[in-house]
Amino acid sequence: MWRHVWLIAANGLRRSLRDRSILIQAIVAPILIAVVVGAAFGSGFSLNVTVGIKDADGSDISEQIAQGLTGAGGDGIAFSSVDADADAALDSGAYDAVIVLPAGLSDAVLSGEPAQLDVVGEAKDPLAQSVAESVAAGIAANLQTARVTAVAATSAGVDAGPAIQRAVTATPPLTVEQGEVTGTFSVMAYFAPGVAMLFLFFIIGNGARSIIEERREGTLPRILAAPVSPASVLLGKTVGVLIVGIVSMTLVWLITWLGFGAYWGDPIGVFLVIVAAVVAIAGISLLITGLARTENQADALTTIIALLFAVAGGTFFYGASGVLSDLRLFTPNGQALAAFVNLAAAQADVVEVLPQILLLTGIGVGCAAVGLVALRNKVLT
Amino acid sequence: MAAPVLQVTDLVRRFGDHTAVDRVSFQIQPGETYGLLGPNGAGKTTTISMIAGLLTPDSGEVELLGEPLTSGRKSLIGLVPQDIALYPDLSALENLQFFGKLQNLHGEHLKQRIAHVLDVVGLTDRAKDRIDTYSGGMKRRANIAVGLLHEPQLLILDEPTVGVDPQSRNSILEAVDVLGGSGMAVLYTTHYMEEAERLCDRVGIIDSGRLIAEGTRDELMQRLGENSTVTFRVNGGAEQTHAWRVELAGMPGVSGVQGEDGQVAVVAANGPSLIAPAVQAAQSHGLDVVGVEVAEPDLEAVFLHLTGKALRD
Repeated sequence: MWRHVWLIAANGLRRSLRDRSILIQAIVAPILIAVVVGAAFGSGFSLNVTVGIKDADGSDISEQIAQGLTGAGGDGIAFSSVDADADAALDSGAYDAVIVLPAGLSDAVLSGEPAQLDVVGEAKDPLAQSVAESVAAGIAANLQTARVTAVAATSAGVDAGPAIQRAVTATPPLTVEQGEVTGTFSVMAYFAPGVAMLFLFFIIGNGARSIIEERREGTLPRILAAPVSPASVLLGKTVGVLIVGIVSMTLVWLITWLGFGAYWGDPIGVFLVIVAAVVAIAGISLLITGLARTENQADALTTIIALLFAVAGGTFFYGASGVLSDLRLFTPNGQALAAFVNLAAAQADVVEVLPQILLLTGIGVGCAAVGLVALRNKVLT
Repeated sequence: MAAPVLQVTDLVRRFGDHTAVDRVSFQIQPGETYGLLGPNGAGKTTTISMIAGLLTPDSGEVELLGEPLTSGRKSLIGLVPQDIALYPDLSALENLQFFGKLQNLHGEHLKQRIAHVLDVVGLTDRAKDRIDTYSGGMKRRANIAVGLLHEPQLLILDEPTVGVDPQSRNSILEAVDVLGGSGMAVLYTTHYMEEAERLCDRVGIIDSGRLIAEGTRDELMQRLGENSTVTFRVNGGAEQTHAWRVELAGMPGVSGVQGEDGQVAVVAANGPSLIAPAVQAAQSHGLDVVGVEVAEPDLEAVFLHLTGKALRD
């Protein structure tokens, strides 16, 4: 069975390579558009992130931390203290994320116990949450220094007050494990994956519809007249479109990164998000093809859905607010772009984008399952 | 006695209220070329789709060499569909490699088989050219080559000469003739009477989903008895011709009338005796008879005799 699956997939790939329009759609167009848009926007996006500091401890130490932070910021990142509940502050829209200094924080530091900070953010703005998390990580590092200082001073019988104060009021470096949060990130690293995903809908949609086209042209009956199972045909077609999608988007990534210096972030994370995005788009394309009554209807539906997802997902603009910002979460494009932004701007690692990877893969597998059953009933029986 | 290569028993297939194939039964022996002759829409393609395992019959059985058709036994059949079932953006060689591998052919054996079938259909020199650069006749021959590739026990050819030029048509018919003579069983569907007469050892006449007659050419001719075909060439209007046809159909001994403007064929017992009254009737309808021909009986006449209509109607 798997030999037939691979033969059918390889045949589809061979035919795709002969089709220059696919090469243009898959690689040239996304890079070209990203370059043009990049030139229009300049070197990068400026962030505009406001992080709230909620002091639930009310101690001298927590007050000093909050005061130290509110004087910090800059480069698109601002800090301000929060009086209300963290969730209410977030709901007010004045803050993109809130760092909570919990009750008992100073007691924990002074007694040498580990302290826990909370970061409250909205999934629709993963970049703001990443910035807040990186700040929280910096505070946690300062607190660790203060805690060690307190323990050492107590052991030595000396006054640790000044040393602790210095440690807790130090401005936390805006760093995470991979490097510094710069406050800007490459326009191309945003638009290239966005536009590539839009074109992927058309490329993968063509691949999915090829099964209907092959039935019309008679090659599908000829394949089925050989000792080949319908399942092998469906799997072969699916594997073919997945390979085309993954290869084309990976090439866009590598060319914009190595050729134009647009760093998309942690390579493992980027590749896994690419795979997940392609799986999601392939699944949706199979679903459309399976449910559409005709080849033309499938074509039209793919175009409409691709454009809707692209607009709602933020392909053509960054930093949408209001309804568009909420809609973004309901599109595979928006989820994938959130992961790409997180990887590129906040230097997130693969673990931090795992929720989006799993969600996109789930969307793809679920849609593909329904689509393949529909296709089997429509085309292969 | 060895089992027939193909045994079809009471095959039925319905599409909604329409019965496309209605209790069709026939068998094909090794080395035999069997023609399924009938007009468009008679049920030929539906029948072979069920034989090739592409359509599931509502009832009835298909047996290959005495055993039911299963997925694993599909390699016993070589299907040449009516349409050009090839990838136009691939070369003939690439098409043959792809379909050959699907038939589990590999390596040197696959290469040898590809070289052989290209030679049989006369496309060796153009093997590396894309199919979309071929003429219609060359595409038909490449289409046949794929069906022959895996040395099937039964080759099914579904109207392989539709839409091809006379030269390519002759080339295809010669190739089928050679294959039939090589011991391969061939199921050949057509609505061209002359192809069935030239190629087939036995012919099944199918109309409206039913196999209405079957046998060798001579056996089928006997169905005509003393009937013969008289063809009249006339000048006149369509309405007058239609009225004349109706009158002809009611004449004693007439079993079939076909044709419209300009030419009307009549199958009748003792055809020559029909000429005088038929001419008289034509004149009474204002038609001018400009030619009369009494033809040797053929399968076209058999079909007309059995169904009352022409193969190409």
